[in-house]
Amino acid sequence: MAPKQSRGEYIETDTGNKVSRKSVIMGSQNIILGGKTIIQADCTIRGDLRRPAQPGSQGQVALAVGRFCIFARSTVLRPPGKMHRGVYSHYPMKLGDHVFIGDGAVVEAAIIGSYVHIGKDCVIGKFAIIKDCVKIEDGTVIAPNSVIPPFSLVAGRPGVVVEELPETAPEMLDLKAVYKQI
Amino acid sequence: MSFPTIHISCPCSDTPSIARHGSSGSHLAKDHSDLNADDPAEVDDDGQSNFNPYSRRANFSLYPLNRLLFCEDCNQIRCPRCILDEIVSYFCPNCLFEVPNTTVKSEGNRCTRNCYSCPVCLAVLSVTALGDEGTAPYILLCNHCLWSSSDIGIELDKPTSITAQLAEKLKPSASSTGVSTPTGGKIYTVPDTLITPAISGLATSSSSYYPSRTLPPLPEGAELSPGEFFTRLQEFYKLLKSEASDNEDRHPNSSRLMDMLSTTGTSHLRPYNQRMSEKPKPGWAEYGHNQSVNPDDDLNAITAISSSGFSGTTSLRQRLTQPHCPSLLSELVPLAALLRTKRSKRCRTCRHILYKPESKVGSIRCRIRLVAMNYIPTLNITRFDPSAFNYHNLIPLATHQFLLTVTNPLYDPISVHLATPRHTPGKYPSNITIYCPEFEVGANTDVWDEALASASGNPSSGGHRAKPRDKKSAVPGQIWDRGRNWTSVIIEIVPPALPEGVDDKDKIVKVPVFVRSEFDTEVDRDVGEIGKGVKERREYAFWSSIDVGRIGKKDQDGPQRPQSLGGASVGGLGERERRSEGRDRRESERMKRSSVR
Repeated sequence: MAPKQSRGEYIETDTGNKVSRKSVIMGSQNIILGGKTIIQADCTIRGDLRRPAQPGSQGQVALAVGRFCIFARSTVLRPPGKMHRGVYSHYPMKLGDHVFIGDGAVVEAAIIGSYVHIGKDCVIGKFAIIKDCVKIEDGTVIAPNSVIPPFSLVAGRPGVVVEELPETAPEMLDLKAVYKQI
Repeated sequence: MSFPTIHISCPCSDTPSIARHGSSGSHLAKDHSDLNADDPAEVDDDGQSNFNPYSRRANFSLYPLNRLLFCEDCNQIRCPRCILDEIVSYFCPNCLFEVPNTTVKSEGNRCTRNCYSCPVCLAVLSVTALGDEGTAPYILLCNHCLWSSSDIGIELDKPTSITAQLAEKLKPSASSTGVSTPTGGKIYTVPDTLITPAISGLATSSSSYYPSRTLPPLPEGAELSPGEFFTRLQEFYKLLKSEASDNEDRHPNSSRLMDMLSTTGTSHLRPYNQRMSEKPKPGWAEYGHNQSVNPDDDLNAITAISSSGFSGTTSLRQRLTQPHCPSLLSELVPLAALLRTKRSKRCRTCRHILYKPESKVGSIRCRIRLVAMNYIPTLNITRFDPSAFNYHNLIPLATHQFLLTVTNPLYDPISVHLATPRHTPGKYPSNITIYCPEFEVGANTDVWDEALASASGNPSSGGHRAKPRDKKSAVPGQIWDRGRNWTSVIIEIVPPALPEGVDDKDKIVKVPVFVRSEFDTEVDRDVGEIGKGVKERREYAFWSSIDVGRIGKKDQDGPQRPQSLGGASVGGLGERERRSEGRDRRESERMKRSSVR
């Protein structure tokens, strides 16, 4: 079904992830993709930003992504970091399933749940927690340390909950059909 | 507004014709069953049974499909207007802790933990240590606009139990002079002479929060927190009432007033505050005299605002979110997070539960979920010719073909009847033709069935037909295409040419489409004595309104077209120019210039 010219644009993995050749992915050994995730061109994913490995443990995950996620063009994903006991350290970032991140958005959230739509040119502040079934309108700026409860429509600068999403939000925000198109 | 959009009309709307049929969609369906057969114009004329998406009432009945629920017992769509909400649980949107019902009743609908939002920008406030290595003092800091509680002179000793600490800090430190207990005797017995002329509503409210401000504190009641103040006020009115009870000209509405007072929040009490502190003598006789405005109030406000400047005043939103409605930024206090609710939904008619979420706060699961998109066929409309197309500029008097796709969410194949009036009911009717108003839509079976069926080359039992003829021509009376659980037909729309100066809402083409779907399904288990395998005929019927697009500019200026196209090629300016008033003048100028060249 997919147009022929798109072949070669993406590297497809065994689990169905499609990663654009034009994307910038750093520290890929620290990134876990759940499968069927699409990373489009010019995305920057900073898997290298993680806590320095402790002597005992190794293989710290910087970014964990669920299934059916789409990172549109020019998105930036950076695990959040802060000063802690005199050291600037980064914390892992977790994304659920069916997370859409729009063009040019910058995400530094700590946790993003499932069925989350982040619009174009949004900025998600450091250590933000976004629960399941949340839609964030284009151009929203979410303040650091914010918590967005489930079934919320968020808009504005800073982003505040402006409306509740209807009961059908999981269907509205499902990305299975979108994955098949690409 | 984006095009095309599809809205479904909920029959609960009190439009007489629809309400009459409202109890059962099947009656409505029967009225229209002959509609699509040969002549839709017949039904068009009676005006009663046709849905008019242009009418003002229609706004209240039209909803997008994803907002609608479905009641199985009433066999009807349920919109937000015909459901009842029931609160399952309260929770704080910031800390996501569930708040018990009793706490909500006693403490109010705000989070009593450490959740505060910035009074300036409404972002969340975080507790930040000012001392080295995370030690006291602590402040509440907004990471978005960098407002902090130290701006209003509040620093905290502990990073926990913020609510208690804030309440302590916001209370006036100086003890008041002889404030009697709320329950004891006459409360406000201060002589008029004691009251400084500087007391104003503004000063009162702010000094109750910040005694150290420049504005002089109120000698009496002002030195109370709003909560305490409210209790006293209530006592005061009880006292008034008891005194007035033996008075002859008792106010007939006094009991109602008491009821209102017991439910009103403190935010509306500022006028009473002043009235009470000024008037030591309670009694209904003085009731009307107390509402005079103290000119010093205004003076004080003016001085305060002129010293802080315009940038130091609050915006309307900032003022209204605060309980004491301050005019100055320096009087803002952190806002405790408002609680949110999880609600279950019931059908208003039969009280059956349509939606019941799990009470756990973070969970999006639910026990019962009857949403309309799982019952009624889904409509989808796209442009027939997939090239780039501006829905905001439909060319009048041209034939526009759209592809109307009907998707079946059910596990039984359905037969769909579409009906539409010949002309849209608006002021400027567009012509509508549905090429194939009656067709079958396959069942929403497993995807594997389709894959196997297409692999083996013969249609499965689930209502599949062979693919219709080749895809090149659109033949009236035949469907365009069909898949596993969808069928698409062509709908043709001819918008009218509009006269100049038409209202924008009349430019939008809204096509009312009546959709009826019939299907055979196995009888429910609760009437199971008939036995399994007995099929029952069911049908769903509803009106929908398809907003196809906006009719564009008339194509009348044909002869001028080449020139204006030349203008448009310069850039977007040409388009704008053409619309402007002095179009003709510029046009002639351009012509002159080109002729000179």
